[in-house]
This record gives sequence, structure tokens and C-alpha cells, in this order.
Amino acid sequence: MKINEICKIVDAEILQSKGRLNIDIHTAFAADLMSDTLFIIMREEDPLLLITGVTNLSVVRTASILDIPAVLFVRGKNVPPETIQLAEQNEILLLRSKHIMFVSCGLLYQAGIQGVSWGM
Amino acid sequence: MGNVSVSELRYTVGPSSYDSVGSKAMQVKKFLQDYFPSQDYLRRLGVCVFEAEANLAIHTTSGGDLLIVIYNNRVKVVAQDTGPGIPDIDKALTPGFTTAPEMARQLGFGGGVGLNNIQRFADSFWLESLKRGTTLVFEVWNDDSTQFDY
Amino acid sequence: MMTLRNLITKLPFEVLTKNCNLDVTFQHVYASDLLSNALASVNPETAWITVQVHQNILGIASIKQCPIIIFSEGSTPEASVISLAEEKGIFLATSSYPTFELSGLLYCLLKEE
Repeated sequence: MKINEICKIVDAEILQSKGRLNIDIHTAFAADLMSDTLFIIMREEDPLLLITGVTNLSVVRTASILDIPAVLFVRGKNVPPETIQLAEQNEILLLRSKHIMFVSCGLLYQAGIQGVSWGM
Repeated sequence: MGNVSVSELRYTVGPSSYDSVGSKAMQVKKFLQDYFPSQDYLRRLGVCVFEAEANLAIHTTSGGDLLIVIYNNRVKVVAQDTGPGIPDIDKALTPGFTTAPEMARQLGFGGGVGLNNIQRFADSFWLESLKRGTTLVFEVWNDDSTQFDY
Repeated sequence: MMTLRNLITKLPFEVLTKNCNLDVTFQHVYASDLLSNALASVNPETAWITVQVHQNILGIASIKQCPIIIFSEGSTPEASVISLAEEKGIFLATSSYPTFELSGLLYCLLKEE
């Protein structure tokens, strides 16, 4: 699913568009806690969408460490300019939906996006 | 072949430096692109450095130091601080257990699996803690057969 | 709207609390690991999805009368937290699914009801 389609499904706007705009996303991971996100290591080069309600710089850095190409902020949160700037420098796309996390995940899941297999 | 270090990086992490958590990990990952071409390896290492950096920022009184030692087939990380120490290491290593302050938790930290993530992705893990300071040492080995030669 | 009884037959949870009232209903689901977000958003009609397992979550669920907490990613609280939840009548269950998938499954289920 392309980024534009994702935006339509969750009513999202693109806050930062420098990056891999043309990617095809099949999987998503939702977390507010960075350590949970860091637990996910993509096994193949499969672009993942990170869905989160936290909008600080560390989210962008987490995405960068894991080579995650796009982050979807939920709950219509205000995203600080520093976050957008760091994302731009690192070519990580930033989207924002007004929906809460549960609804955003629900809509995307319904549309065919799958979860990452997570095993402890 | 494996015991001469090729290069070293050193960073200082300040206490409660929530805004910069992950900045050193990113620098390390970028620096190592020339040494280790495997993206999978760089991610594993990046995660471990990120967590070590986050711990120094969140759980120390005065911050701490990160030493990154680069060998041709692995990277060793030493994270040291000067306190306050981990009162119960077993608890600290229990997934979900955290002593992160409220401020940190509101920013997405304090999941309680930082050390566990390092244990999971590093190939060796050593942790010693006293009130006067904690030392964490771990190594992440590169399994990729295309090791660089020096 | 859905009852707890219905929910636990439809999704593979491990129920942690004993003797909870399974006729409790919920209409909304809120997924968040940030406690202040949850404090602002959960209510008597909400099921709360989180990975947070420390005791604070019960304080929040109590204050807002949120009857259900479902842990994702296989997170499981300590026995003391489970006992406290039983005392307070808060239902706890855990699922091995990550938050994204758990939310997706629950979203689709709620739509059918």
C-alpha cells in the first residue's frame, strides 16, 4: 500500500515528505514505548510503518536506527519542528492522523496491513 | 586477527538528556557504515547502543560515558556511569520492570526492556553495579563472512 | 458494544484475573502506553490495551472506572498486580499479539457487533 493510500485510510496529512515516498508498505507496528519498537528488527528489507503517539526526537532516531521509512503519529498530536527537521535530515516520512491509535490500527488492519511477528 | 582494535569512539551522555537520546547511537551507526556493510548487523548494534545511551540519560545522577571499540569482526561497547547504581540487578533484568522517572515515561521511555533488548541482540553481556557506579559491557559480533580486512 | 464473555471466546487471550464479572460490556477501546494519555481517555465503557504492567495502571483504571485492561505483546504483570486487580474488580488478560494486530482484530470484531 502506498503512502498516499495510507493517508486516505487514516485521514492523515504528510508532515514531512522528504524520503521514500514511493514505497509499498505491508506491515505496521504500533507502540508508544521506544524499547518495544527497538525490539522489532526487520528481517527482510520490508518497509514498515511505525505508529505512535509520542512525537519527540527519539522517535525519529528510533526509526533511523531501525531503517523504518515512515512514522504515523496518532491522536492529532502537535509535532515539534525539531522532530520534523530531524526527520527531514534523515529522510524519514512523517504522517499525522487525528484518529486515536486503536482506530488508526483498526482501519489499516482492515485495509490489509499486517502486524509484525513479534516473539519474546 | 580479532583482538586488535581498529578504531574507537567516545561519547559523554548527560543526565536527564531526554532530548538527545539516540543521537549517539545514530552517530555510531553512521560511522560504522564503512566498516560493516550488513544492515542487519548495524541495526542490532544500533539498538544496543541506543538502549545503553538511554539508560545513561534516564537512570544516572551525572550521566555517563560510552566507549565504542571497533574490531574487524565485532564492536564492543562499554557504558559507565558514576551512580546511583542498580539496587537489584535481577529486578532490573526483569522485562517490564522500570525505575524510570515519570518524566521519562511520558516521553516513551521506561518500557522496562532496555537491558533485555541488549541481552537479546548482543553476543556477550556483562553488568556490574555498585552505588558508586555501573559498568555495562557488551559485544555485538558480525556474522557476515565479508569482514573487512586491515 | 461487546461483553467480556463474548470477547474472550472470540480472541485467544490468557485471562489473568479470576472471578471477574464477564457480563461487563465495553464500547470503546483505547490503546496507549502513556499513562497520562490513558488517564485522560479511558472510562467505564473502555477496554484499555497496553504493554505497561506496573501497578500504576490499576490506579488509573480505578479512578476512571475502566473495567478491562488487555496486555499486548505477551506482557504480563506480577502476581501482586493481578491480585490487586481482582480486589478492585478490574479484568486483566494478556495476548501475544502486538498492539497493531490486537487493535486490528478487536476493531473488526466491534464493528460486527
